[in-house]
Amino acid sequence: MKLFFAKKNLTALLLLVAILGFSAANLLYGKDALLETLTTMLDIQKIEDVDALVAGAEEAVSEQLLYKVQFVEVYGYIQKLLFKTEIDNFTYGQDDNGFLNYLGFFREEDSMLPDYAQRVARLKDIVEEKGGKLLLVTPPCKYDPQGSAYAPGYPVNDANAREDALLLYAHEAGVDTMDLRESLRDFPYQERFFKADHHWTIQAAFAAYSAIVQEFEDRYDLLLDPENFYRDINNYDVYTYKQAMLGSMGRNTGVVFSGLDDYTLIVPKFPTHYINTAKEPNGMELETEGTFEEALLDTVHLSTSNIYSNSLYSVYLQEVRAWNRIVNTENPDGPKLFCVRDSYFTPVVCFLSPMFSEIHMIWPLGEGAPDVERYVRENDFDYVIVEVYPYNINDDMFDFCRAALVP
Amino acid sequence: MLFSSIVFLFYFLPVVLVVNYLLGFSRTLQNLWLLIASLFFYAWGEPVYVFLMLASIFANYFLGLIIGKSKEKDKPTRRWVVVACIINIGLLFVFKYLPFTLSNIYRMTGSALTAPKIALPIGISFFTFQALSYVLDVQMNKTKYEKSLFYVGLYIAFFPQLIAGPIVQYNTVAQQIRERRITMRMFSVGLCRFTAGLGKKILLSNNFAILADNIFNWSMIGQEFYEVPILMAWLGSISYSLQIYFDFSAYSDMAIGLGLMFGFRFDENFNYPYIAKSITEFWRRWHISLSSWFRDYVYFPLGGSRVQNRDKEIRNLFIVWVLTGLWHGAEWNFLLWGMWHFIFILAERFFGYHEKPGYNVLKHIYTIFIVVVGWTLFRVTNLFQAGRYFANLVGANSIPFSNDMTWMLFREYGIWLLLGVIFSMPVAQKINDMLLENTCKPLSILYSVLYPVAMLLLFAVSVAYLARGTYNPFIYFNF
Repeated sequence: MKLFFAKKNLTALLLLVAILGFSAANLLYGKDALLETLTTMLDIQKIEDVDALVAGAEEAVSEQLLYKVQFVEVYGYIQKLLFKTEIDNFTYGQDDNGFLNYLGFFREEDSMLPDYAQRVARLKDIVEEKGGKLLLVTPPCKYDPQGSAYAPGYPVNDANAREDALLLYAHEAGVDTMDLRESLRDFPYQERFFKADHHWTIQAAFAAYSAIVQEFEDRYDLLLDPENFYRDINNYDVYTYKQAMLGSMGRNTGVVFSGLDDYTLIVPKFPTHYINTAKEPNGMELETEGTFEEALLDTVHLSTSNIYSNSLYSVYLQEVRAWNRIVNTENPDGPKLFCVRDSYFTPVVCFLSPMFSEIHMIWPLGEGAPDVERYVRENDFDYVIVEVYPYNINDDMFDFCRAALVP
Repeated sequence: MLFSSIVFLFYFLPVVLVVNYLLGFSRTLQNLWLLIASLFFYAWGEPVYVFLMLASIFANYFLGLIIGKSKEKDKPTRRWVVVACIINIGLLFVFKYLPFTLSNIYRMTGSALTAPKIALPIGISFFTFQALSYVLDVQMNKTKYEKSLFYVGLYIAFFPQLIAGPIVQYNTVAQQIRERRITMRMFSVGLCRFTAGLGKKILLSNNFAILADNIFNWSMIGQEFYEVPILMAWLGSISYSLQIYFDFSAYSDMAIGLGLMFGFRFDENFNYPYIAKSITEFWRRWHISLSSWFRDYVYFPLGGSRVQNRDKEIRNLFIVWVLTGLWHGAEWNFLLWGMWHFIFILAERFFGYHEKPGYNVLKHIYTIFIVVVGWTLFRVTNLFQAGRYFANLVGANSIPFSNDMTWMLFREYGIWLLLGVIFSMPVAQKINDMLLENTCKPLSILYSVLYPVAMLLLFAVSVAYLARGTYNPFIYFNF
């Protein structure tokens, strides 16, 4: 019995030190953030404000928790030890090759798909009225039945059917479409996607860019790169950062569970000069000018060692902004391009930039994004690309031309 | 505020503990501090209903005072007990049963009216029963009335048992409120118990919740859209049986552990119910504090089993099980769940089940089967969904035996299920006892050395799950 209590006493002492010590450290470390949250929410007018205060405090406490990253790693390690492949109530699932995908037991039918297609068709009509062309582009879904390796019965969130349907409806509505799944069919799956990020790799984006240039040539007789110069990878510096990137999905599962990805940076060797203006999340416009690297890349991400808070995918144009305008001073007579896009298209746009005089972009899901329809009416573009990642096919992404056009 | 939260573990608990020990020179100040902390704890999740609880405290304090003083003067007290019952049960009825009652009346009368939606105050069934226990204990001369409003408040609102029990009877803690001693041993055992409960909740219960919640949700969608094969349906029922056991017993472990850390000894609430060999025995091991409450304040006052004829005994049992079913929630499935257990307890009692020796394995299988089927009835949201789920369980409507997804669930959660089955039996307790008896043996010493490491690891892993923000449901909203 003596040993029994000695064991309990020692355990309790260690636990007490752990709880009090960790508590004190968290109070010291997180007190500013906690106080800031509380003071901003202390203006209590109604009972909902109290609920919001409590929820805000809990969130602040959780976000500021010391060693949070290490705890996430412990969690991921335990999942590994248990041979688990799904994370957090089937939010993410890892296939046999280590690729993470979104999971979902059922995907609701989106009855709005024909309407989205009609909206694109209406936008196309506006563009064509002004002498331009519009192309709907869909990148490949990360889950690829041919490339992903899941056991039968695994509830992967498969957006391919939705992508098929959108392309079908758009085609039916007379919209030019381009299915990048077909263009990248021969591009190995292992190199097409990051294992722990939902985006495609920069190499895959480059391949997609080449396919789009070819599509412009075949479909619109637009010779953007007649000498095959811009599409030749030998005219680019290719830097590979081995095991340097923890993707968006990996940041939720930890390195131990998901592993790190290689990141490849592709930068033109040929001379470039741009003025890039972006609308920042705070609403301010930020202008950068210079070469491809200076104007379009945010290389600070390459030198940051904190893989948990840093996304290397943000090197190109800071991943995505509500609005961007890239003016290519080296090619003032080139055509003008407008893209309605999401983050998937960011590196593609960068690679397209030498061939166009101007590229404007709107990300409809971004805070304070300009109205797409008005933007197209107020500006003259030779070409418009509407790009949407299959998982982003939703009402907010097609937030334009909702009503039938008035003749 | 949940015990299994960062706010509780690293902000609330350390502050309350430290201040409580700093106030060690004065029991009164300690009690006052614990009352304030408990009210804050409740208000964190229920900023409005904390006033309801305060009203309950005031009402029951004064009723206890009136009854106690009347008893001293040999005056009749029965009417004040009736008032206490009306106030407490009335409170419970309004917040918990009124919408259910009205919606059924409207349905029966064909009225187009809709029942009002009233948010259920968390833990109302627990604190109401505790409050009533105080008044009834005074009436039954089990304890003396309490002169201090704060102490009655502390008894009703004490945060360790406030939102998920155990239901502490006033007579068991009245003395401790005034004269408890906090020893190093009590604190140590309490903190270890709390940590074990935390681990049970976060690692076991929450994982079973993922299986149970998903499978029951799929069943709700309906076979036309989502097929739940027989094996998957049973997996869902078994997972829920494990979830509710580990969740509820974990909360009790944490409550009992916290109580010890503050110098209170609460009675045990669970005693490995899944090893029971009859439904009667199951209820001696499951939610013991609720069974005891109904036994002491309903069954015995009605006459219990010491009545002149069996009809009255059956009536008494029936009343207890109707109330037990409804206590868990205001829906028909809860009432049916109570009746389900009533039928088997009655059958066991009148067919001499307990007198028949042997057949232990069969008896255990029977008990588990009845309990699991009962939990299925308990878990569904209404009778329509019960029909759907039971159709899945028996493979009605050409539902297949299994599918790929069922095996995927087994692959992903097989280890947790195995651990759940192991820890639902007193394996750890037996090993502990076995090693304790041989304190000189190297194995025993090794166990004693590894124990602190294992507990620290358990705590760290639990915090890791919390920090990650994993699935952490709170299943007592109905109670």
